[in-house]
Amino acid sequence: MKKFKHYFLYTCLIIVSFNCSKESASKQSAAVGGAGGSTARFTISGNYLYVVDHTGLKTFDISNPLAPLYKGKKELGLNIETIFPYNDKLFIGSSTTMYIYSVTTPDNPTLVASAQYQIRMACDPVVANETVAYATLRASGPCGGGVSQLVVYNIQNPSTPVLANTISLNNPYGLGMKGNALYVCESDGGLKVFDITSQYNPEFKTTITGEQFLDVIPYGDVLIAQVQGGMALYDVATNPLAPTFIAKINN
Amino acid sequence: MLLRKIINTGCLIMMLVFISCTSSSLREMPDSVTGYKPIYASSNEALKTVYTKTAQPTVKAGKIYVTGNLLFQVEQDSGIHVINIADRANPVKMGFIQSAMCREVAVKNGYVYTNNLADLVVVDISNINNVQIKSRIENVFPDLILQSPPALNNGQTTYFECPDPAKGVVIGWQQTTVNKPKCWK
Repeated sequence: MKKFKHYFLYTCLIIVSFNCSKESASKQSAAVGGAGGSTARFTISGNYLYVVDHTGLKTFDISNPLAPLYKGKKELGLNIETIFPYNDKLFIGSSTTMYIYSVTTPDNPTLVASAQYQIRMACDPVVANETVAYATLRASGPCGGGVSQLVVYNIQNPSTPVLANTISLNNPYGLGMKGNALYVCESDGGLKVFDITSQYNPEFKTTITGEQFLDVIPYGDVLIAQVQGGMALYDVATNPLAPTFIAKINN
Repeated sequence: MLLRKIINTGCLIMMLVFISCTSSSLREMPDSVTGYKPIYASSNEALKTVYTKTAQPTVKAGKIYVTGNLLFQVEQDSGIHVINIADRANPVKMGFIQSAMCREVAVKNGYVYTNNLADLVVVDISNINNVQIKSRIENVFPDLILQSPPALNNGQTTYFECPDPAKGVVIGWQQTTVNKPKCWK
């Protein structure tokens, strides 16, 4: 019976990971050359492509695109979901933990820190800069705990992330930051905009509605949103805290 | 190395089993129910091509990537939409990069990095009307393309015939009546 319990938990974990990866979106980075959404499994940092599968981190040397080299896999744990690059760091989200890896030796990423969430088994993309990391924990779904959150970590000392704040959310997916604005996708609950002038104390400003928001890439003057059925563009040049709709891309 | 391979394969098989296939002793499984059965690719080789198609409608919108004025959006399981957003108010779909089981995209210096089945492929997009695979590393993402069927109804249990890896890559699901299903989600 104990054995069955164990199997059931395992099944649950996998189902959670499945649901998350199925519905969510991409990658985001300050890297020159491109940016993805927060829910990506692929990211490029320098001459390396980093990929998270369900259990670990795979490194590819892409110095020569005509002959990429697979450098190996770091085993992390179960239900790895997202990867986000910032400078020489990779922020990796799993259903239970945020991992910070250093890529100062790019072909051999090294673990800097891991922070376990208080909510277990959630879907949890991460975005970050030098001093702060934001993760959304979506706990709805078959195995989640029922309470979704935005969690804020102080990472001024990246080897010891300190939980600085938690904010209740309804149904969060991807997220993105630009200057003093933090954008959090809440599917059919809209796009929530927070003022992060005080970076460890996000202040809710407004909700953009009209789409089911799944992920965002703040990209200069424009906020690119992955939405149900396609993409939508918002102007954030005028006021990052008040994105205004520009165009929809579906058909 | 061989041992590692065996362990990895074992893990994958376990995942395949447990993702979807919970022991029926944990649950009353119906004798006959509306559900799904897998559609297998007749040949993996035919799916191992990546090529340009004309712009396609977005149906299963997936992950996004941006570089310069080019925006990329995965069409889940079939490829990547390429969109020019130089004129923000009037985005233009330039074309579609067909790649079977596509889930992920990243772009650097005119090369798209994506998955084709479980392989990493690097695709030269310098001529968007005729993209070319430049390199491939086989079977590095076996667990990114694990398949389960779409949900029948919100919150309702979906029953399905368990995929059999020996039969090939699952490229879709056919809604049908399944008898004594062993898999559900």
